Amino acid sequence: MRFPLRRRRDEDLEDEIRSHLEMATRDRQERGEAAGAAEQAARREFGNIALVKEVTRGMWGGTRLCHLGQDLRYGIRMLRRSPGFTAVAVLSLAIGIGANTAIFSVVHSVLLEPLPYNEPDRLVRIIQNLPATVTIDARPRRVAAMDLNELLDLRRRTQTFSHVATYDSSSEMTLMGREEPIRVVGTAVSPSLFPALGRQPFLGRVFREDEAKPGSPQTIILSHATWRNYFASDPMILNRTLSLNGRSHAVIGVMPQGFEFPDRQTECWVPVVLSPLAQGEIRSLYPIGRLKDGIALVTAAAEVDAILRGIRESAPDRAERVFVPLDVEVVIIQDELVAPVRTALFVLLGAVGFVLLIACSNVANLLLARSTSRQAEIAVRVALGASRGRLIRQSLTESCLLAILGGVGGTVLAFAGVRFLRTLGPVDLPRLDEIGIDLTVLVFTLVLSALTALLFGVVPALHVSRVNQTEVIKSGGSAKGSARKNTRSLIVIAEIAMAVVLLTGGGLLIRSFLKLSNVNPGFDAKNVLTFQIALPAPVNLSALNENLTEEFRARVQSLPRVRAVAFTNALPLVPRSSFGMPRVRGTPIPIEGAPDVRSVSRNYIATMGLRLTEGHDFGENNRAGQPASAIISRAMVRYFGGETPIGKTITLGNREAGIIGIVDDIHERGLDMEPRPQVYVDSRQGFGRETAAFALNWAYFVIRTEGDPASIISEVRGIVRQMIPGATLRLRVASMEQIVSNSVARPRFYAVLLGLFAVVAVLLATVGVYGITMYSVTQRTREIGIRVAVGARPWQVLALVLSHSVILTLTGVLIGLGGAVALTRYLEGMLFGLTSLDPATFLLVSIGFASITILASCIPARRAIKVDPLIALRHE
Amino acid sequence: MRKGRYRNQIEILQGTLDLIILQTLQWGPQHGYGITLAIRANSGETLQVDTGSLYPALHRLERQKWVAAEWKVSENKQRARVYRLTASGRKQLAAERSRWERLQEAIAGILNPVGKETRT
Repeated sequence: MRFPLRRRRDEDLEDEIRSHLEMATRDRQERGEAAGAAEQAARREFGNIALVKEVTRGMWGGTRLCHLGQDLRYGIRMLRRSPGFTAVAVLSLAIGIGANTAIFSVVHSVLLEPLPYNEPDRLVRIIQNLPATVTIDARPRRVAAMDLNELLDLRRRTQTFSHVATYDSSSEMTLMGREEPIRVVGTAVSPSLFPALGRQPFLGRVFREDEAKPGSPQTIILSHATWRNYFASDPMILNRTLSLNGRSHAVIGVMPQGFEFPDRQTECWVPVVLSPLAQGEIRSLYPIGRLKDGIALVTAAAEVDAILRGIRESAPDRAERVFVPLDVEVVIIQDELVAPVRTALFVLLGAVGFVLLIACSNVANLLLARSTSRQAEIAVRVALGASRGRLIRQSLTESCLLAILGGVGGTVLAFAGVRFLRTLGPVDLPRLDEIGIDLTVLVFTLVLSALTALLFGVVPALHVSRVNQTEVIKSGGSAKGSARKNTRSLIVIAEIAMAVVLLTGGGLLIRSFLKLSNVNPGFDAKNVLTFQIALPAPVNLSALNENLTEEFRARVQSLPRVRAVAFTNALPLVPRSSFGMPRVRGTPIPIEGAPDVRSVSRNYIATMGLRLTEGHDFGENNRAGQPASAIISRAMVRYFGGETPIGKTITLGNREAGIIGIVDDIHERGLDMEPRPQVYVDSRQGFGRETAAFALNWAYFVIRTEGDPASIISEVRGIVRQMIPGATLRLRVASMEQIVSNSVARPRFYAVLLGLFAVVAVLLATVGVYGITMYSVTQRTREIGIRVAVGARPWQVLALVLSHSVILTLTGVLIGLGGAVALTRYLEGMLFGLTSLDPATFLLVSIGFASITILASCIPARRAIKVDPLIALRHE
Repeated sequence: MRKGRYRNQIEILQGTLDLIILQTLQWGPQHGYGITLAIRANSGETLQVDTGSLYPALHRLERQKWVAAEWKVSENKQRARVYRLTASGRKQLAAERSRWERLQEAIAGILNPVGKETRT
């Protein structure tokens, strides 16, 4: 905007110069020259009026801002004049910037933001690294849990930790205190945990030491969200009594908003009660420590190592237990929490970086193409006195305009993208809830936009200013600009290479995910409904008995479309710790090889479709009072030293069971993990607390249906309510198929994302190739016309046009494959069933991509064939 | 490029150009055209100042408040922007003059190293 003052000065200067010219002209006329000639001579003597004005204006100062204003207006005008170009450029930039912003917001919230504890970098976990030789799946494993006795000893003896706290695995509990019972996830923690974390409760207080002793009144602390959602932020919540799993707990505190431990799913905390352990019973808990100031991680690790060694050397039952080699690590909590996703997130960040680079390359090429057609205009500007610096500045201003537009569009896309990520993201992605766009992310977007402007603007700006004006004006603005052509070709090759790298990565992840999905879980997941029952408060266990359980089973079985009804104490692929420590007679089983013990109904194995390979299933005779029987999975056979396990016994706690059958393994923990050995016992024979009599309280029911399992939910709920007034169904997920699908949510997430980026990259690169070929055809219309006129055949024209793009494509693909070989190693940990150099994927990618780009360049090539030589030659 | 020529001229002549213009204005207010004529005449047709140097110089001098300008109408009904010397301009002129004379002496000393009798 030209300020009024400035405008007046401009007008004054014009007047001044005009008056100078008039006086000079008049003097000449008085000396005898003709009027017209005098005026011309005066002008010539004056010199370049525009230049004089320009330099004089330069003396006024404050021109920088004025120039910027001019450049901006000029840039806007240029962009509006070619809306197609502007749209494509802005869209490419918006996609690139938006994707980067979205992924960065994930990286920022998950990896960079510190955890909501006091001095979180002093909070550590104690990890024991188990080598591959002792683990059941022959893969090294990091164990975060510690034996309780060792933990207590550690706490007594440590010099390097200021706090050592523990907590147990989270589990679902039934909470009652309102009208309806609800299932919440709760964690048992030691009283020293909250002091260790260093956060004060929002209401009330934290646990006291005496509240963790067996027999003392039970207490509970709620999370802020639980207090808000389930108790309507009741200000009198403290000292209210709630019932948790049938036992009374007094509410003593509410934690502040945003506080979570150990993850966002935990909704309440209770004190860990350490009851005396039964003979041979082992209990493990997770330790969390706070390092004293100035203590390094390795120092603490060395101390823990020494203490544990001391404990194990002097253990009374040393000869009987198998201890694994010690390799202790002390890790900061945050690092451990995000470790599983850190690599993947950085891979995604790299991928969107590539997408942005490809988008910038496209825009740079577009700008270069446009600058070639604007040569005449630029030459005139140079003749009028524009300096090279001015031209570069103006060109960069235009680039900045594009980048700003792209940045705004990108931010909008990013908001949508983040929302999409949060819904698509696997439930167990650490800190998923905290992902959002905040100030830091917006600043990142701003900086990124500026960088992209520089990235794609510099090269065209330099080219623009390198114009040789006389040559251009002479040839009517059609100079070839071969330097430009080479730059554009190089840019396209770079685009293709990057797109190939992304496509390879995406292809690997997708194929890996498909392989994972095809793994047979070992059971038949189709049409199986799963649920638990939430009994009304207070839970009256004495009302439950085996007949009730049987009646429930029979009634559900009689529903139409129900084929079988069974139950178990834990579902496959749903995390749940096992109970007890089975021992094969005379042979201790290493801790890592510990099988899961499953208390199941008589028909569970048949209902779930497990394959019985030897022996027989539980029969009618397996009831209380009869000799106990167990069915083991194939992975346990190795503990019997080559003999057949059938007929041998296995010790569970203080009882023995005879092995009557062997089933095939199931993938209990995950489709990509080695199966864990399983021991199935009939729930009627009363092992542990989970017996058939109380099945309605603890069991996961599995119902095999014909057709959609969800269709019988309401009927089952009706039966439950009829039999036990006030009871409801607790459905975590409706069907077994969903559970299996959820278990691979993370690989699916990565595969979908990287695949998406790869598709975008391929699109952009294809557009780039198309553009450069189309441009080349347009530039060479005249040449093609001549060739056709002297007898060139269509295929020769085709070859001429395609040869360039074929060379570009092949070069780009080769370089891209090389890059992929170098970079896909970072995907190693994310792949299942493939190596990072999987030849099939590489081959597919190269052939696929090359075909697409060559096809894309066929469109302009067809145009070339249709060139009418007469029209082409008249093109000038 | 022609622009380069202007730039160089400005740099070399900047100090002396200021001196010449200020000196010319000492004899009375004058417009730009008149200043070029005066300089040409007083230098015996030797010096022809480009408008590309003159006008930037005039505006620069104006910005530094050594000259002041206003629009006047001359006898032949010609409207022109007339520059005149200000008080600080006079001081600047004196300073430029003594600087020029010191420069002259210095160069004379280099050109005629033996004896100082050739001083003008």
